Amino acid sequence: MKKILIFVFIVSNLLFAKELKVGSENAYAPFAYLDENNEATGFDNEVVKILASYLKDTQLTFVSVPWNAIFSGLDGAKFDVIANQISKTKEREEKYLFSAKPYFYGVSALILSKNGTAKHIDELKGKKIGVSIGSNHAFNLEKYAKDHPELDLKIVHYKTSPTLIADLANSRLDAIINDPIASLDYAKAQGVDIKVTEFYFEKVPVFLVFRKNSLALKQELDIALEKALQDGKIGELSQKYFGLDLSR
Amino acid sequence: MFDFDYFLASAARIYPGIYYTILIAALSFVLGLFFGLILALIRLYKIRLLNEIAIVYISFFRGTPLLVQLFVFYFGLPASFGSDFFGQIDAIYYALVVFSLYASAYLAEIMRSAILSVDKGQLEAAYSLGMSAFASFKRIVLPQAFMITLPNLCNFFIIQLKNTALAFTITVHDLMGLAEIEAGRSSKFLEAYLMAALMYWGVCMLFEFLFSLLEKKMKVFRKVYA
Repeated sequence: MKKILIFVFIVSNLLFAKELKVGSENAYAPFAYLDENNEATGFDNEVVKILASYLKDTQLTFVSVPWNAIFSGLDGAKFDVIANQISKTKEREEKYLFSAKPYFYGVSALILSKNGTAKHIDELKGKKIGVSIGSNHAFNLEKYAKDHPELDLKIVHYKTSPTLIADLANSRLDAIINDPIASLDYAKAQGVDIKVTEFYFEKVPVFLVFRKNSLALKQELDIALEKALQDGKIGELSQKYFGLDLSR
Repeated sequence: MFDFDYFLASAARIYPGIYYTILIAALSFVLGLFFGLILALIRLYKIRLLNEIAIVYISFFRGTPLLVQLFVFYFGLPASFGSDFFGQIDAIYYALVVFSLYASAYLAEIMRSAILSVDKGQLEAAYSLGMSAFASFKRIVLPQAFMITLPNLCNFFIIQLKNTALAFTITVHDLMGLAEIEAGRSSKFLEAYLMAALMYWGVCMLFEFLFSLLEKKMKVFRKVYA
């Protein structure tokens, strides 16, 4: 009897629930990937799960799609929203709707070794700061050093990020400018401690993306996102994944 | 499209790297000659224990890629013996030491074969004039050996000059390093690398010329066939 009731409950739910299809790359740890049970997880996917908890009767379906087909999948209604670390560009804004608020910020952060105490790059007069070649982090630091010659920052260029972390850990560098998430990942792999500061050169906001004709859905999710940010749930999730709150 | 204006403009930002390129090549060559000669003599006179050590040493430095040697020293020393001391030493010193060790292994073999190729009769003639073993080696054998092997030395020096392009992997801002940084900034790889290539070539030609001058000077030691 009980089983039948549950069955009926599930079926009725499926019949009356709205289905929300989410497109994500699912090969992009730690943002969107499949766990060992092939369940979609990762920061961006979890954000959508939190948002869905604020909506009535919504059935979530995650559609895995390769990065190069992610926008055409949205166009072709294979799914209705993308949560995959997407930032605004002019071309994208012309074609799609973005959530009112970002749910995450990619940053170019000042990172110190575990004993570092600086809170601002200006405290690092004459110190050695590492960046990887050709990155936007290198570009930001070079520009800042040029605008502030009195700081006499010594920029050291690296070919790869892991060596950058290694040299920060063995005190060849006083600081690095890098993406904190990738840096923490490398540090964990190398078994060393690093310290991400609150000093950011730039913050690149990341949004949910909708088709132009999904205005109602967008507004619904905007309200849910606003609530989730207010409740600090997205912040908690960011803490859980990255050890720092990158939702504000 | 090849951006010719950028190509010319990049020269000003890449050329300061020549300083480190020449410094590493020249200093490692001189130190390598000195240390390599000692190794060669140890092997020629088969000094017990030292001979075995020299064989292993030469085999290791000739049998592993220079890139690996750089990494082993640069990342291995601080990791194994603490970064308080080894982390404070500037990357350029790591480069100078590793390049010198590498050069000494190659030059040891070049010198050994050169000394062996000097005619035994030369040494006997020196002894018959009452010269000591050390003096006859220094004044008779070594100059001739040096002359015989000068083309080989020139050859190795030029290879070493190009090897220095690896120094950037441990953050030394040599010619290749500045070219990489420049290419990373502008994403105009072809222009920056081509400029670096021309500069390497220029430095190589300069040293080829210097070696040819040296060869003219050393003519006096050339073997004369009656």
